[in-house]
Amino acid sequence: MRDHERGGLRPTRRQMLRGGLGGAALLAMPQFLAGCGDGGGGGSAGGGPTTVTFASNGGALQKAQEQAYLNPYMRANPGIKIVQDVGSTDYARIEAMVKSGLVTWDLVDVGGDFGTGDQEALLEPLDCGLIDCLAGEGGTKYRVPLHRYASVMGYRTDKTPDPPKTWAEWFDLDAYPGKRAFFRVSGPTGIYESALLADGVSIDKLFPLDVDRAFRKLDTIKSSLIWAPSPTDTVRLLADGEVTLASVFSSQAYAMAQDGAKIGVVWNEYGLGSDYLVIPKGAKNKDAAMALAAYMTGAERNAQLSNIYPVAPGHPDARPDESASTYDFLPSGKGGTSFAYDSRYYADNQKMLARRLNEWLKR
Amino acid sequence: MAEAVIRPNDPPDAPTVAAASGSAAASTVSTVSTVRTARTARRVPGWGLLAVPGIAFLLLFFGWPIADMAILSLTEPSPANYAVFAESPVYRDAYVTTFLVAVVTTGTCLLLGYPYAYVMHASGRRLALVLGFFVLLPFWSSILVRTFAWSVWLQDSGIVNTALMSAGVIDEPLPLIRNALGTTIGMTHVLLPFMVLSLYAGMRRIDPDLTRAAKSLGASPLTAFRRVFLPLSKAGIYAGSLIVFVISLGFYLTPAILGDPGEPLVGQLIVEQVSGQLEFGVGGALGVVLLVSTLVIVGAGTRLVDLRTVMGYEE
Repeated sequence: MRDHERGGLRPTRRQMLRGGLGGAALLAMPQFLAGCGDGGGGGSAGGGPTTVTFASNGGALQKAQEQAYLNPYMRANPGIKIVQDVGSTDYARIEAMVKSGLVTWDLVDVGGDFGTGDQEALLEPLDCGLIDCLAGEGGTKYRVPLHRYASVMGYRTDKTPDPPKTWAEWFDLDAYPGKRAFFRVSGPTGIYESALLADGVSIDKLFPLDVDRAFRKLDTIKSSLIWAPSPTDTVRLLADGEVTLASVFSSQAYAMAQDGAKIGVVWNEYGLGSDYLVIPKGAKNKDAAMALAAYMTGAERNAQLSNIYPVAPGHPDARPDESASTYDFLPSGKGGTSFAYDSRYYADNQKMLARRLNEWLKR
Repeated sequence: MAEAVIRPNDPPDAPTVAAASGSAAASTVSTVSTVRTARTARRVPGWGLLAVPGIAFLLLFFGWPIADMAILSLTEPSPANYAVFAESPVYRDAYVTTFLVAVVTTGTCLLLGYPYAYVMHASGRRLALVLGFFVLLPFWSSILVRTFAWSVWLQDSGIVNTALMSAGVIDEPLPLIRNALGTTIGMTHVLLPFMVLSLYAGMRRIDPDLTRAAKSLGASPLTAFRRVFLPLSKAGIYAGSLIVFVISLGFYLTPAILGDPGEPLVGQLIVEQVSGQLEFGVGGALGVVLLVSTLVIVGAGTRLVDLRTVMGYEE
């Protein structure tokens, strides 16, 4: 999975209206700045400010991270200069950097599908005395949980006043006629889990996934499914009226709802995934990156992002503000049942899942 | 090494999309330019040196990455990367789909582009300039935005279907998107300028006196066009078709957004391997097979069509 909840492939409608050129310029800018930072600063040795290059996936998320973490951190630490880059979930870039020895990123926001197993060889071990590595879901010596996002049932509040409460209802074409959208990717976005839940598998027994059973259930609604090329699209398809129901990331539903779309989400049987901070092996400013990672992921500061962007804190002791506008869309303190994506399962079975999905779509 | 295969993170404008099979395009181009340089060098020896920077550029930024991709496909981790074709029919079928889509797109571009280029050629300088401006207009916006705009037009709740349904022409939305039609429309839109400009360049080389002579000897305008102008515009047709065909092979964004999810193109599968699964080796293998099959097909094409015609040398 490349894009997670924030959808890199496709602009939102608002960005679209603003025009592609502006967006492209904005995207290009941090890279340009990062380039300058590396060239000019050359790390901490020069006597000037220490530069840390933080890479995330651009868009609203990265802007919120800047506001919630990076700017306050720079104010508190005048000796540190943080430059930003985008494209962090393009893991091929991390691998290429490490293997070529030209590591330009110091601290990287990655999805749950990266940083376990063989990929640990691409990463610096974290200083778990400084960083609370193991407190949150899926944390290891090589990656620390940053925030959690949720894949949920999304619907149009104006067209479907009585939305499905369970995936079984979501799969019921008689109760809810019309098409449904999934994000087409083999990674952890809930395709298989929702089918298994709809077919009666108990929510605590989803993993390892019974892929055959999931596809048999998906067969029952195959002709009513639309496969969105990016996660943003699942929400856009809902907003456009192209589909009745969709499996969406709650953060993107929030963004679209803020734009005025009548979109709601159902907090039941939802999937939880995490983003993690990692330090690529050979990062030039490793120590400064460690300190920044400790600041961003610690219980004290971690929830700041949740107040302006609808993701839950990665640290179990961090508490988001319940009066914030994001609260209804963030997966924290909600009723209903949930499951966590087994990132280890996905790491081990990604190839098989990609092949099976391609073959199933072809039939 | 990432450049060897694909760079999914680059701004998705046309040249980058072409980079998926940039391999294919580049090597065709470099073969052609080498042939040409050799000939030019024989005629004007000193000037041939001017091509050296271009050749060096191609070798460094196309030749080497392609070689690197081929090496990766055999060594990352082993030649077993090519077993991916035995593993699943998805991969073999993707090549068939990709070449079919390329042929259809090339044909559509030719059908739409020829009359356009002809009007550009036949009209006065000012109109030609305006028409040329409109051809180039799409290059000023990103391919992503253009493709997205197409989905707004073509989807079930899109502009076309909504208009037709409210006019009572149809009851059910027409399947315009998420199928081969959507891919063809989107790719034709992106590639039409390449076709029109190639055709126009070819037509400008035709001596206007020849058509006039045919008419003065009694040929009807249609006969003069069919017997004199059309055959002489062959070079532009071949050049435009070759360019559009080869660039078509590397598309991945347009089919991802407008195409059938069950029939991915090779470019999409390469992105999935490299960017999604970090399988540089398998991605490389898919790229090498695409490159080789493209060379075979283009090679077979040049047996029928003298490449020198394409480059503007008379037979």
